[in-house]
Amino acid sequence: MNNYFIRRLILIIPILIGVSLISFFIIHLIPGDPARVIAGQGATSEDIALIREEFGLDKPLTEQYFAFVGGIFSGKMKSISSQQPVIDEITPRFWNTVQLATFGIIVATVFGILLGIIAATHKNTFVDNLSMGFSLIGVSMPIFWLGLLLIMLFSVALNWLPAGGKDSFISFILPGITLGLPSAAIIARMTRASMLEIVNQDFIRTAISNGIPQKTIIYKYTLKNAMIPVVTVVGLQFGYMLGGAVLTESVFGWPGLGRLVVQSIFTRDYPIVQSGILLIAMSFVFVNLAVDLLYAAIDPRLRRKK
Amino acid sequence: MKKALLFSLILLFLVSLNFAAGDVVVAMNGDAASLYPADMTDNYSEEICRHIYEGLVEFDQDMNVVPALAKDWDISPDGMKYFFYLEEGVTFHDGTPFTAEAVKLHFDKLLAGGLRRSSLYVPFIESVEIIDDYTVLFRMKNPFGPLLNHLAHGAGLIVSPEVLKNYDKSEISNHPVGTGPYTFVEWAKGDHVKVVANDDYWKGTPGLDSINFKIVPEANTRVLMLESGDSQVSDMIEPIDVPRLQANDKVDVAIVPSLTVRYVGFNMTKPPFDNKLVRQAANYAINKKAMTQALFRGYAHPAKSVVAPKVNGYFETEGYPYNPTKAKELLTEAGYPNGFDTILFAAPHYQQIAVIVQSQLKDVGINAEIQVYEWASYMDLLYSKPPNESEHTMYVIGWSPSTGDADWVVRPLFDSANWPPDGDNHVGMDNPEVDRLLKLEMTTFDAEKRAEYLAELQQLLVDEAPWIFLYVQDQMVGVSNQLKDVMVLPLGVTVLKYAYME
Amino acid sequence: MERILEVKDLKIQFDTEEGTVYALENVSFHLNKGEILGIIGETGSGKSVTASAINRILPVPPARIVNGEIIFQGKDVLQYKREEMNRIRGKKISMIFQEPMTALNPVFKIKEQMSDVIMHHQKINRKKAVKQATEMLEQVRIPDPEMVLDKYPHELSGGMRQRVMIATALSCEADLLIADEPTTALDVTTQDQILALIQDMRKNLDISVILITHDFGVVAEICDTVAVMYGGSVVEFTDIYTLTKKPYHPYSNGLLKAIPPVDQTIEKLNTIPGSVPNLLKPPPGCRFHPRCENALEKCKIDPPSLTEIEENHFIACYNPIKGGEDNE
Ligand SMILES: Nc1ncnc2c1ncn2[C@@H]1O[C@H](COP(=O)(O)OP(=O)(O)O)[C@@H](O)[C@H]1O
Ligand SMILES: [Mg+2]
Repeated sequence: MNNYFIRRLILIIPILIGVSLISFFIIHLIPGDPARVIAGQGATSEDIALIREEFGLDKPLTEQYFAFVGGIFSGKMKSISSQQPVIDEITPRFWNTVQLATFGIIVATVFGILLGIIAATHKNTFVDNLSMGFSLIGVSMPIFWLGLLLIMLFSVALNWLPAGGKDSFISFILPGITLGLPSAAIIARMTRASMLEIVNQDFIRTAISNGIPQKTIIYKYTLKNAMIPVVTVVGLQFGYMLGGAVLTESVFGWPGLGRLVVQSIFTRDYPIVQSGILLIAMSFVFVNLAVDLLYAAIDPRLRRKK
Repeated sequence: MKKALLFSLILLFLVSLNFAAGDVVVAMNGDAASLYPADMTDNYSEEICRHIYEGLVEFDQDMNVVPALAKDWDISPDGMKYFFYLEEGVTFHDGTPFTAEAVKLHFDKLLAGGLRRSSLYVPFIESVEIIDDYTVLFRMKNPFGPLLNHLAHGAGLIVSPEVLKNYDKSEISNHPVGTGPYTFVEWAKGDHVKVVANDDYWKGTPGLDSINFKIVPEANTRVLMLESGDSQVSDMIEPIDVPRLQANDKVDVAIVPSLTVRYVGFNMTKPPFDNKLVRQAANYAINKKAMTQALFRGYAHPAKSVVAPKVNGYFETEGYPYNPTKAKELLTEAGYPNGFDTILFAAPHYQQIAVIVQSQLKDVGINAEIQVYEWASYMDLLYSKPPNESEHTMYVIGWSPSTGDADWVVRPLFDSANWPPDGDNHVGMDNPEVDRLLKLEMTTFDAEKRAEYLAELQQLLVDEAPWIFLYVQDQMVGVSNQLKDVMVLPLGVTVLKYAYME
Repeated sequence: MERILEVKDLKIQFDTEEGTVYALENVSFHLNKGEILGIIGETGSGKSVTASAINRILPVPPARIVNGEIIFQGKDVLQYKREEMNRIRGKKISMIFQEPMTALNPVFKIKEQMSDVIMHHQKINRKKAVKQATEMLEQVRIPDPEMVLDKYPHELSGGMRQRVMIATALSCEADLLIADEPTTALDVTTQDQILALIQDMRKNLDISVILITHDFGVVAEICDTVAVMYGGSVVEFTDIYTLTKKPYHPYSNGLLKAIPPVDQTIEKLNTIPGSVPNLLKPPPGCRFHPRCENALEKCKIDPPSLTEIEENHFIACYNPIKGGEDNE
C-alpha cells in the first residue's frame, strides 16, 4: 500500500514536467507581448525594453523555460504585472480557491447525494421527476445567472447575505451554493443511477430476504456500494472547482486563483499563468490520489494486499 | 440542535451587518497592480493611491490643476524653471516630515529611469533641486507646456523618503506611505485594499473612518451591492443599469464625461486609406448619434476632435456629421465609385462597435470584414511593426490621456517620431505641419498661446481624418446618497479624499 | 403430519415493456414440517419466482400476484404488511441463493453482515451478535470462524461464501429454509458438502427446506417430496419415491429418462423435442402440449389443473402415462 502511493507520488513528477512544458510553450507561442500589454498604451520603447529586460523576455525561449523552472525552486520568480513574488501572489489566491471549493464540494455532495437518494427511493414517482427536473435545471443553469439570482434574492431583497467579497464565514454561502449547485445536480444524477443499479444486485436481495429493514438497506447496504462511482464524480467536480471557478469568482468578487490566472492570460503575465496552471494540475493529481484512497476505503476489493 | 444552528447563523448575519456608518466600501472593477504610484500604469492602482498619497498638485472635478502639497508656484519667464512652495507642517503616515528633500528623492527615483512611469518626466525635466526646506526647483530640459498636468498625474504622488530609502521598487508597493487623508491598512490580493482615516491629516480629520476598496469584476454584482447596501460606491456602472439606480432613492448616479475618445484608426500608409478623401468619406458614413444611442443609451457623445472635451486644450471642431450622400461623392472623387473591400480589426470588447461601423460603411459601398483579436494579440498587431510594414488596415481602439492634457494625445498618437514599435502613432501619421504644431504646443508654456496651437492642430487633425471619430463615453459611478463630495474624475478614477457621510 | 407451508393456486404475472409475462400459473404444493421439498424444472420454469413469492421478495411492480395463497404456519404471507414481513424474513423464513459470488455485500465484513441480521431479529447488541455468528459458523463447519468473520466476501472461496450464507440464513433459527439452487455454481466436491450440510441442518435445527434445483441427482439424493415445474406451472407433485418409480406426467417422465448418470443437470431437455415456452406468449391450454407425445385436442384449449389422482400424488394432465411407467 505504501509502495503504491509512493509510486503514485513519483509519477507526479513527469506529469508536472509535461504540464509545465505545455503551459509554457502554449502561452509563449500565442501572439502578445506582456511588456507591451502591461506597459499599456502610451508606453515608450524604453518602458517596454525595461520590462522585457527585467523579466528576461528578450532571452531565447529555452533559456526562459529553464529560468521558469529555476524560479519555481528558488521562489524568486516575480509577476510581470505586480512585480511581486509569484508565490506571494498565488498562495493567498489558491488558499481562497481551496476554501471556496471545499465549501462548494460539501454543498454539492450533501445536496447531490440527498437528492439522488430521494429520487432513487421514489423511482418513477412525482418526487423522482421533481428531483431530477430540479437537477436538470441545476446542470443547465448558467452560473452567471444563478449567482446573480441568488444575490438579488439574498442580498438585495432579503439583505441576509453579502453580495460579494470574502469577509467572514457567511461570505462563503452564496458563492459556495453557486459553485456547488451544478455539481450537486451531476452528483444527484449519478447517485440516483448508481443506487438504482445497486438495488437490483443480488446482495441487496439477500439483505431483504434476511429481513434487514428498508432504511438500513438503503442507507447502509445500498448507499455505500453506490458511492463508488459517485466518489469519482465528486473528485472530478472538486478538481474542476479547484481549477477554474472563474465565473463564480467574478460574480462574487471572490479573490480566487482561477480569476487571477485568466486575467494573467490576458495580460500575458507568464510567470503567474505558468505557475497557476502548474498548481492547478498538481491539485488535480492530488485530488485523484485522494479519490483512489477513498475508493480503497469504500471498496475493500480495491485494497492492495500487503 | 437545529434551533441552535439557526440561531448561530442569524447571529452571524447580525454581526456581519453591523458596520459603522463611517466605513465605506468602494466596489472596483479590478485589483491594483502596484501601490507604488511611479511604477504602475493602471487606473485601479491610481484610484487607491490617490487616497494614500498626494502630489505637488492635483486635479479637481473638472480636471483643472490645483494646489496640493505645493501651495503655490512660480515659473521663470523662459519656462525653464519651476519653483514650488511647499505646505509646511505636513507629515507622512510614518511620521517623516514632508520637505523639499522628499520631493527631490521621489522625482530623482523617477528621473533615474527604470520605473514604469519614468518616461513621463525624463524627456523634460533636467533636475530637481532643493532651494530650502520648503522650496523646490524643477529645472527643465526645454520649455514644456503641460508640466503641471504631468505632476498632477498619479506618478507624481509622493512617497515617503523613508520608504524610498529602505525598500527596493517592488517592495515599495507593500509599504505605501504618503501624506494623504487615508492610511494604508491591508491589501488582500484580488479581494480588497483597506485604508483608514489619517487623524493627523494636515487639512483636518478626513470625513470617513475607513474605505474598503473591494474588487468586484462583475458589473451586475457591483450594482446589486449598491442596492443591498454592501457598497456605498460602485465604479463602472453599465448604461442599462442607470435608470434603475436613478429610481432608487438611496442611490445617486454620478455621470461624468470621460477623457476617452473611441475611434476607428486608419493605416494611412497604405491604400485606400492613404487617400484623405476616403478617410473623410468613411467619417461621413457613420451615424454617431445613432451609434451612441444603440450602444450607450445616449451616455456617449459624438467626438468632434482627437481629444475629449474635458481634456486640457480641447478645441471643438465641426466634426463629421452623418452624411452618406457626401460620403459616396467623396469616394467617387477618390476613385472608388463602387467602394472597396477592407478589413476592420477589433478587440473583443470593441466587437459591437465594429459591427455597427461595418453595417454603416456597407451602405456607402465599403465592405469591411471584421477580424477580432484578443487584447494582447491586438496590441501586437498594432504595435509590433511600423504601420507601413504592418497588416492592420482599419481598427477600433480608444485613447485616454492620463495626464488630462491634450499633449498626451496628439504627441504620442501623431508625432512622426512615434511610429510603432517606438510609440503609439499606429495610424502612421507623417505630416510636417502636424509635427511643427506639435513642437510648438509642447514647448509653449504660455497657456493662451499654447491653446491656440492646440486648436489649430486639432482642426488640422480632424481635416486629415486619421480616424473615424466615434464618440466620447460618459462614465457612470453609483454612489449612496448619504455620501457627499465624491469626486468622479473624468480621468476614470473615483476619489473620496474629500467625501463625508451625511 | 403438520404442514408448515401450503401454496395454493399461485398465479403471478410481470408487467414489462414488451408485455405481460405469464410467469406462474396453477402453482400448488405443500411442505410438511421437517421435510425437504425439491422443486425441479428447466431454467425459466418459474422456480425462483415461486421461491421469491414465498419470501415476498419479488419486486412489485413489475410483479403482480394475480391469484393464490401462500399459507405459512397457518397464515397467508401475502396478507402481511411490509414491517410484519420484515420480522418473518430471516427470522421464520430464510433464503439462500445460487450466486455465492454476488449474494454477499462486497463492502462489508462478514462479521458485520451476519451480526446485522442477528441484531435485527434478536434485539441484542453487536458483541453478542458477533458471538452468535461465530457459533453459527462453527455449526456450518467452518474451521476458523473468527478469521472468516474478519474477512470481506471477496476474500473467501465460493463454498465458504455459501456456508456463510447458510449460517446467516439459519442464525435466527428459521423454520423454513428456501435454497434456490445453492450448489449450481459450485464444484462437485463442494456441492456435496453443502448438500450434506443442508441435510444436517435440517436434522439439528429441526427446519423444513425447499430445495430448488435443476439437478435431478440432487433431488433424488436428499428430498422427501418433489414438485416438477414446467413453463410456470407445477405439473406433478408427489414424494420422491413415487416420482422416480411411477411418474404420471409425460414431462416428468421425459425428465427422468434424460438423466442417465446421477449428477447430470437438465439445463435443456434433449430427449423431448421442442423448447421451453416463451412466457410472454405461452401456448393456450396445457403449456407443455406443443412438446407432448400424449397431447389431446383438449390439451390445446383448456389448461389442466393440478389434481390428486392418487393419495399425495398430484398431476396436471388430461392424458397421463397409463399407470405410470416403471423406470427401472
Ligand atoms: N423481474 C421480472 N420481470 C419480468 N419477467 C420475469 C422477472 N423475473 C422472472 N421473470 C420471468 O419469469 C419466468 C420464470 O423465471 P424464474 O423463476 O427465474 O425461472 P427459474 O426456474 O430458472 O428460476 C421467466 O420467464 C422470467 O423471464
Ligand atoms: Mg432460478
